[in-house]
Amino acid sequence: MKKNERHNNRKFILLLILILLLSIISISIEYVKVSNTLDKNNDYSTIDSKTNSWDIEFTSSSFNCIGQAKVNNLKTSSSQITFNVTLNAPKDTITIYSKIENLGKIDATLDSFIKGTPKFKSTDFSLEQEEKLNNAVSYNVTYADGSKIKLGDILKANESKIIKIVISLKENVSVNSIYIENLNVIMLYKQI
Amino acid sequence: MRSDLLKISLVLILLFLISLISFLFFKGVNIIIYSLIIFLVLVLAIYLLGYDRRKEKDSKDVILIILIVNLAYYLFTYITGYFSGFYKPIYSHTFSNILKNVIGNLVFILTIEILRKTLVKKIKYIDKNFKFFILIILILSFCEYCLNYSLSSLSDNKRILQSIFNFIPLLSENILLTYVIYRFDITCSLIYRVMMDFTKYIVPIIPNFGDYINTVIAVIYPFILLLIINSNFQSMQRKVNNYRLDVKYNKISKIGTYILFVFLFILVLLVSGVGRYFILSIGSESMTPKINMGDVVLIDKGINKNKIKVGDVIAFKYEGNIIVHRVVSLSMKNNNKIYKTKGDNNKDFDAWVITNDDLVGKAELRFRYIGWPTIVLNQWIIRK
Repeated sequence: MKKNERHNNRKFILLLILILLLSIISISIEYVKVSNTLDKNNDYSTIDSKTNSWDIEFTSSSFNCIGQAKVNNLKTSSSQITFNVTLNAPKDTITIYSKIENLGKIDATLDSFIKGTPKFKSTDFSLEQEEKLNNAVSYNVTYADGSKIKLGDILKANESKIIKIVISLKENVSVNSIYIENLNVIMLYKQI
Repeated sequence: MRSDLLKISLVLILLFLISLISFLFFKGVNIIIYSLIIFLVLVLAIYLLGYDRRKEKDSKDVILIILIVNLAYYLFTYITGYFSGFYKPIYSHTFSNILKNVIGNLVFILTIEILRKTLVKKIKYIDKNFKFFILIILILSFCEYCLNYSLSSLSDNKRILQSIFNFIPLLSENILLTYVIYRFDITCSLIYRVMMDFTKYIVPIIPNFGDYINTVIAVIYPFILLLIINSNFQSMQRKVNNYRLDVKYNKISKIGTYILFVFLFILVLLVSGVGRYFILSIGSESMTPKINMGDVVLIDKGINKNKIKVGDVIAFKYEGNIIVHRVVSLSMKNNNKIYKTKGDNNKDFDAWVITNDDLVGKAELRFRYIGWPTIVLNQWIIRK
């Protein structure tokens, strides 16, 4: 091996190491958690870091509140919707509409559907009292037309569906307001 | 020689233009159609430059190295995955779907690797112009990138950023593939790609280390394989040509490489939070002047929660956010430890109380300013 070729090889390895260092540092900069902002690493569906041919996600959300109900911190990540709700009086109702879109190139079928359970949590109440408050809340997730979400439902490439989430207070409760945080809906798809 | 370089430039420009048109105007280009168009470029390249049929010695040894290292990689990741967890690939495992997924990608990989070989071998034997190798790596990476991304798919800042970060593993893989074809043979690159790219279509579970570590592995693994192959190649050359090892350089380079990998290992551990400690960029001025916006704090997750006292700076979760504030009072309720917190720079106490369930850890160390790039990136994403 000629001397200049060995020299070139050293330059090549040095260049590689520099690229590697810069790459890992820049990826790390993106992934470092940040205080007081969204916990953006809480994502469920990075399937393959090199390809975008699979891309199903909740792309937009809107909500409608009846009575004194409030919704806040409504977040959509690739495959889940998370939100907090406050219900104050009977018949307070929140309706959330969220669009799930297949932006990739692969037809998909619903593989897993997780509908979180409303859980009122407070250090001021006993477990029995908490359970009673939780039972007073009605929580339903369907498609926008009211049809049931079932495993095996198909979402073809470039198609979308609207998900409807309805949460309401059924009866009078002994507290001024019920605050439920981190309610979520997770929909995981796989190839048909 | 000059005319050959012109022909290579023409092929590269054509490939770049095709990729660019696909990126700008087509959403979700079909892999077979895309491969066929690149196949036409390949035909043109072979017509202009010829196809190199020379057999490189040592190729068999390198194929063996690739096979062994790839198998070791799978063994290691699957054993580690036992602790970190697995995910089910989205790809269907019916026979017809496996065929559909594999054949489409196989056609693309074959076309692109033969094209790479045609270009790389020509440059190797006429000029060894380093700039052309860089161009080949960049354009072939972009060509593959355009298979997966289009301008219309980059609808917001988050997607743009994600696509940029997904380009890095592609680039890393293309550096390795161009290197093995330059030094050895196309068989080496094909074996690597088949082993690494097709697993997800066939196996029912894949180790999941989280987004960050998955991306780091996708970037770092081709580099490690390249260093192993290169080191073997150098020692083979030393034996054949009987030249002496530059002991001083070799020692410095070994120490440098070890330091680099130790640094990267610690960085990945701290960012991913796999170990006891993790780092957190500060995104607000609520703790100024003790901790400013843009600082990074080291959080100890393993601290004994009973030892946290008033005055400690803690990190906790609230409404899905991580907040770093100081403990101002402690109390007990229903056997639960209740923490009242406050930001040093805030006039009022926080409007909430937290329990051990919300506690993430205790802030142990602060590093000035180094969190700014993350803050800027985050604000750019959120502002959209």
